[in-house]
Amino acid sequence: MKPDTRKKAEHRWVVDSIEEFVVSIEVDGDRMITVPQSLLPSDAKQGHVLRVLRETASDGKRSTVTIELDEVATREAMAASAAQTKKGTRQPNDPGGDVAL
Amino acid sequence: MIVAGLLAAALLSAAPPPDSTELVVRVLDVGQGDAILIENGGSRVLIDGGPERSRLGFLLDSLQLNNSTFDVVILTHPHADHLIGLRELFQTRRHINVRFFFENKDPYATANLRYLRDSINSRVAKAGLIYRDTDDPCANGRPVCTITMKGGAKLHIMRPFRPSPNPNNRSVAVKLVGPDSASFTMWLAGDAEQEAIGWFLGAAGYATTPGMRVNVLKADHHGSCNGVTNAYINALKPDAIVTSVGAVNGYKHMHTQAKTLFRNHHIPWYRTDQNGTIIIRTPGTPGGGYSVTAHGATNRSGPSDRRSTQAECNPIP
Repeated sequence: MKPDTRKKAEHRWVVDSIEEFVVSIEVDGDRMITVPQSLLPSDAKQGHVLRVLRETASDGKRSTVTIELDEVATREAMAASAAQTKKGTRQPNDPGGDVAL
Repeated sequence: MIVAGLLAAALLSAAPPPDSTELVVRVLDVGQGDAILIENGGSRVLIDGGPERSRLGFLLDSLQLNNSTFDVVILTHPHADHLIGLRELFQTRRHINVRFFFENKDPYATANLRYLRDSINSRVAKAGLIYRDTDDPCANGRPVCTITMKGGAKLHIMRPFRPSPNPNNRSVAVKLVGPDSASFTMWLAGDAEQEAIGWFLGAAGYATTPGMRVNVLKADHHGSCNGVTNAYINALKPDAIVTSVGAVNGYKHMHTQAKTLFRNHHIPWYRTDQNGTIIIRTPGTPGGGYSVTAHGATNRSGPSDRRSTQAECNPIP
């Protein structure tokens, strides 16, 4: 994989899980990484969407990464997820009850 | 190494005959995550899919499960280490049929969950897949739903703990009962932590129905100390514990405190990072008992095992 040489880049992180200062993150809807919880905003919780901005200095000796809680994107993602399933409704082809395979 | 590889292949390929009562449970070595394959009398159940599509895909190929039917698939909760592998089941090229899918349908922001649900919804529309909410596992208001496999084994699927900001505590619990219930039973509860475990033992009434005494426990939450209590072990009274865990993980699993608790209760453990895929077999006939097959000895430690600093583990209640 080639290194990302862009001067500025934006990524979407979703907090998948947090356990004992280790956070599992879904990056750009694809791969998973783990990062220390200390890197994240203190209000970040499981299921939150984070906006990650990376800027690289032109001399190539420094980069700045900003990680911020994206409350609008979180609300939108949760609403879209809720709309994707129909909680509490039985499918027409499901007779309900125990199942004998 | 070659012998070990051949042995692994032999263990993986021996599926139970479809016309028998034999029950085979494979706690698949998927790294840091869970995936448990259960086969009995030609019925096939998968609980979780592990953290990587490529890994579950490799296992589907190895076990010759392409062009087959998974009668029941259960996603215990929507964390990536249980979810992502399940996406591989729905790859068109695999021609895998899924009849029933159970999950808690909680909203969650990850794209992997969205992609999985897209696939499920597509199969609901096109192939008649029945998609049930674990909060209503029988789709009739009852908290416990029983699935009977063709060889006589039963799965009791239990409503999870109430809505919680911690997805682990929304893990569905499953009790597997062999065709001869006196020979083999197993408890699997995803990543349920101590709050949910207390609810299983108390208000949920699962100690009474379907009952919690079992032969084998799939350790909650990869051997985390927050996935066990002394009361839990006292209720389950397992003869053996199986843990699905990655050798190199950042979570310190298995936690030292969990291993100490298991040791104090004189319960041996197997773990996928050290023992590989763990296979449990019971003939399903009266008095047939059960066996556990794994590489190497029990009670091993792994390179990531550490003591947890979590308050609920010091001490484990």
